[in-house]
Amino acid sequence: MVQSKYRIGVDTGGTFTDSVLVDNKGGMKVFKTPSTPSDPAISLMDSLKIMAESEKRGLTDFARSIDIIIYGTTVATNAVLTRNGAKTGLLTTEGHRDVLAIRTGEHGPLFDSRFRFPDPLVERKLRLPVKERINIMGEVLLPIDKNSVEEQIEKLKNDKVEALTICLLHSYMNDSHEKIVKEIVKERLPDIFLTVSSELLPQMREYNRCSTCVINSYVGPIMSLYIQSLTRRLAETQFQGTFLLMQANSGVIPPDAARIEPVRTILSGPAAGPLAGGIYSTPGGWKDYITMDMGGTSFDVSIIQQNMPSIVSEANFGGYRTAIPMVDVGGIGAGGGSIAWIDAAGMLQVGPQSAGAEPGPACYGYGGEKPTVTDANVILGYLNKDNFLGGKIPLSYDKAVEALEKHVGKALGLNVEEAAFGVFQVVNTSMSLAMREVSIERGLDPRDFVLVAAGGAGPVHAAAIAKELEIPVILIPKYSSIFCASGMLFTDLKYDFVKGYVEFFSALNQKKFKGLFDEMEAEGRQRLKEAGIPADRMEVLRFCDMRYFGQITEVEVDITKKEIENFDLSGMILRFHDKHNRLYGYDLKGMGFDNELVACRVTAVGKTAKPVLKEEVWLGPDASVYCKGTRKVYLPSVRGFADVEVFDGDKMGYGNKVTGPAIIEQANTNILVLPEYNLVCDRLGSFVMYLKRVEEKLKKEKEGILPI
Amino acid sequence: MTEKYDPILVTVLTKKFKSITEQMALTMSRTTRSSVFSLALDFAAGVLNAKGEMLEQVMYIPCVAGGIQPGCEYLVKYFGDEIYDGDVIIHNDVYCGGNQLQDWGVYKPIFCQGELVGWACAKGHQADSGGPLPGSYNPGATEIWQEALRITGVKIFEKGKRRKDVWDMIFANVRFPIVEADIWAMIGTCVIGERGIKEIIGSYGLEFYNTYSRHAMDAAEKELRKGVESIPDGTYWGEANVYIAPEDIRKIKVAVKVSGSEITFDFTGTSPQSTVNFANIPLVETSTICLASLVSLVSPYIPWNQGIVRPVHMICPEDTLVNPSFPAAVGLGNHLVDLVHEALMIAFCQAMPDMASAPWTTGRPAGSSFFHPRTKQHKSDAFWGGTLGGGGAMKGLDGRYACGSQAVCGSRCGDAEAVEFATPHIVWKTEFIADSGGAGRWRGGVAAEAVYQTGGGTNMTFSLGVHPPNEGTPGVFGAKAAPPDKIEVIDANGSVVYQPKQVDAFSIAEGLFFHQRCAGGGGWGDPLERPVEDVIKDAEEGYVSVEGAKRDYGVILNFVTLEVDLEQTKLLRKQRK
Repeated sequence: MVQSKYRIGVDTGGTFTDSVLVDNKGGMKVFKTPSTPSDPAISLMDSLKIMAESEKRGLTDFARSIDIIIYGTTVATNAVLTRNGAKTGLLTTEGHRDVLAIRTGEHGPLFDSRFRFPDPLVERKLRLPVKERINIMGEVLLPIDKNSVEEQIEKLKNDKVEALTICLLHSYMNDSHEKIVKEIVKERLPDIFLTVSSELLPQMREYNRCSTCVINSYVGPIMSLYIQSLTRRLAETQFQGTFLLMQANSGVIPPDAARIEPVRTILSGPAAGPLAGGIYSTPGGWKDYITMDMGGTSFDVSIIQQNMPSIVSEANFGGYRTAIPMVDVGGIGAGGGSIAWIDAAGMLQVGPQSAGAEPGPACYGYGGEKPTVTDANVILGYLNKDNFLGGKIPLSYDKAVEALEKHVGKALGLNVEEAAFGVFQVVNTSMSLAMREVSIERGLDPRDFVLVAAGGAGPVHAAAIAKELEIPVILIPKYSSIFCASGMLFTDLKYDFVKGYVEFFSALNQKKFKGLFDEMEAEGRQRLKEAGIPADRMEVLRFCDMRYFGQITEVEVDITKKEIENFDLSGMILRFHDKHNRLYGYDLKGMGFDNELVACRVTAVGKTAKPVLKEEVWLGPDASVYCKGTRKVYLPSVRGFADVEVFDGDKMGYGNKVTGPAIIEQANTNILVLPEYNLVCDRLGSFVMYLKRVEEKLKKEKEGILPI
Repeated sequence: MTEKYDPILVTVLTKKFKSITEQMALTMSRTTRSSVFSLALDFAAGVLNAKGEMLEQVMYIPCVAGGIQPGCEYLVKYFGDEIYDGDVIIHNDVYCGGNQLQDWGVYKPIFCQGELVGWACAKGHQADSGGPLPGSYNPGATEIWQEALRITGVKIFEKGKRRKDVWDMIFANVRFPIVEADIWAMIGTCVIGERGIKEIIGSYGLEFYNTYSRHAMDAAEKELRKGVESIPDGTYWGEANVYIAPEDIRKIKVAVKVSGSEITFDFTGTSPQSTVNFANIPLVETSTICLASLVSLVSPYIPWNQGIVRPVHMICPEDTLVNPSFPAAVGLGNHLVDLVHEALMIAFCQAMPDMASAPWTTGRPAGSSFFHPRTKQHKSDAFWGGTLGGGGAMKGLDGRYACGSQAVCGSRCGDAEAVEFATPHIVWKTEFIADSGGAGRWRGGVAAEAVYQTGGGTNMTFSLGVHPPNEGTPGVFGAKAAPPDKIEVIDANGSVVYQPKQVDAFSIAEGLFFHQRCAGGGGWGDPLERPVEDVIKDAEEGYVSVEGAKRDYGVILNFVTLEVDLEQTKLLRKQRK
């Protein structure tokens, strides 16, 4: 007897843990529970309990019918940011123990004499040199001195080090020395958490490689314990399905893999955003979109072309570098909680300081006195003070006014409404510039994209930002405030591999080149097999990192199996020129410059079954029954307040149409429909907002797809 | 009577200008191919108004950036009404607004409906600028013509059409083809700036752009004036020694005079200009470093527009090291500014002891040309390990580690693995040096040393030191000086084969080792007052040796266990007081 089978996505955030439940009919339910930072496993269990209740089933009974749980954790990220990881040691090539502290010589803010980078995750006394040296060709310049290794391990032992990284120069060209060190470590410190750089990240540039491997070691012991505790608790509920963890590359991995390479879960939070964007843009037939997720403190942006998020192979967070592939998420510190202030020049600034959840914006009445974006939005009538988070937090209009007047209005000689509108304008400017930079950096024009706006604060600001960037169409998912959790249900298993091979294309060794790809593909297929993925659901993607000789940044270009087999690289080199031109505005095609290979990459994907979301019932265009009346809302175009109709967004559905200006109220967010826009609900219940002047064009384009 | 305007839109416009210049800088760093740009970020980019006043600029290397505006103002006057849409002008001359001959400015006028509305500029240090030596550093130059090609401002594009004759003439005088490729990338950078300004005018109108950029300048001026007001009124003196030749040590002297919101940098008393070792600082560079130092003291994140120049006044007597007269050679100027910075830091420390930092390291850049076996080409590159000196300490904070000088900062040393692919050298060491930070209550930033084994045949090498030999970075308020920088060529046994002069050009045979020790940052306060536990921590981390702990800090540590002998330490510290 087949019971209803569930798929669950859980996204742990700073304040709330969002979860999404989809049953086998495609019905979706969403939940929010408080996060429990002291033991994050509790909030996972809390989420499961709420879900069981809402399905009117006992926890055990419910857990048994769960097919799959996809879980996003911030445990590793937080361990680094709060410097709460393991006591970590590093064995490295003599002469290079300060790679982590020197950081290739980067400086930080130019004129800020007080700025300091955070200390490396390994103290200097635990960064120990080993006598050995390998050169760029992988040849041994200095054979490894095993005695020096033994001596250093003795020191690490005395210092009671809990985790260790081995990172020797040019180990991606020749890993024999790292292997010898590993053997000695295994013998002398059998229980230590160990990361070997030629295993985790065999690619050129010791700072990136060493830093990534050290982070892996640093979070390793904590993540091991944590994953054990999670799987034990899940086993206690008699959960028998698949449990997977979210990675920063927007794929998932099984718990055992995450225990060995926990660095892959770092910054996995926003990685599901682009996938979520994919779900909601499907009904409208869009494949190129920009997602913006504006929460309390951060504004995350990613650009997706042809439903493929772009992946970067280097990122900084909290002053540390990781170089594992991750979804390219840009952004700034701007959100509903961002504080407005007046700088020394007497100019209005917003953020990056945030009031956070405690004390929060002034209007929360939790004791916050500084004016925030949320306070401005209350004054401007964009948020309903009585219906915030479904009425759970009544907002104080008076406190918002007091804060804005005192800290902004007086200093600028503006009345409180003008001051509030100033805050709205400044934060929108910052966000639209961040979005423009993200797109232009990648050689793309934001006007060619649909804006998918999510997060608690996103839909309030979406129209104003889109207008600034001349983006004609905005999509607001029905459950925009649990955006990333819903994206998790659409992930695949994903293993990334890299092998450094630095050589001019003209001097490339065919056998070695092919061998590297074969080796990585075999390992990828093996790992997918172990995770229970049948061969027909495996997909292998292959890439080369390339550059013009003399450049320091590489461009990743895809290559086919056939091209590798036939050693026919002309097509790929052409694709390299094209991509270089798109990114940087020029290429050196036909100018006689040699191109250089830097690394080969393979991504092994195991396709999982995706839920099919249920379509909404057709309600027709007339939304007047859901109009709750009017309220005073500030309209930028008239620079003043006007009576604007307010609709109940939680009741609206497929086919409903609204003419701007309007406010669509939902439990967790409000949509501001500016006078220049109209809005319509698609078949998943998402809101499509578009410029009035493109209505006719859009109607033609999307006939039979969107009920415009 | 004050004009009525919307203060919010001033913020909006300021942010937009900033965003434009950041996009320009990004384009420049990603597309250029000389490591001077991509690794060292030795460039700047900015947008200016029709008069050549700065609207905003990115300041990777302050000296280079400082040359953008005076150069533009000169070009506006020089070309007068012969500036057309589609023009691109190239300029580097130090006697008409430039800062160093290697730093070429590419200027593009911006037109809207037939009217000149502004300029976009990319400016940066070229891999070669002609002249007698590759890289165009010629320590033997006694006059400007012996350094490099002087470009006083010529159009390489007119009305959108490339001027082939001028273009070919310029690149016929330059060694590496990479320079031509990099100029194309700089033109691209200007196009990005032009597009940004046109978008602003497109959405807000020309009237708004003109009026509100003036308001933006006024706001930045107000911010800097507020900063200057926070410095107590008075006159503060600083000086630094300049190495000219073994028997010829000269002085840079500065009196910083603060009165209300006005500040004057008076260099009266500075030594006469030099005729050897191209050791002179063009006025543009002197002024820039004064402004940059002031900003780092009182307002590190200020918008960099013309408004911030207004409260600042310069007195630089002619024919001196800080304002040399035509036709003096000035190639070392970009590095000598480190000494102006040193003198300024000493002055600022008297003015605001709790806020100012002690002097930072002075750079001693070195580079060489060689045969590159992988590419089978002759090439030149820097020894980037020379950029790893330490920052000055300040009250409450030890100095920054291995960050390079503040005056020409921005440069990076890169990864050893990447350097070994780009050059024929082997990087045996890039590591912190014990006892290199100036000893003080707050310790100066620790410096690093680098050891390169040279490959690629005999290397033609230069080194550009500025401090007198054996004189390190000074400390303040009773702190000790940090040990000086040092370059040695050694053989496999560690014997010194050659010890270069401060400013020198020499050759190194393949296989020998180039060993460079950078100078640390100056300390702040009496080292005997540094808490014992901080000294122990430094010893554990290897920033201070056991000998150094005793010598510099009066702290007695056990050689093996690093345990402190508190009795003896107390006694010793008491004796020294």
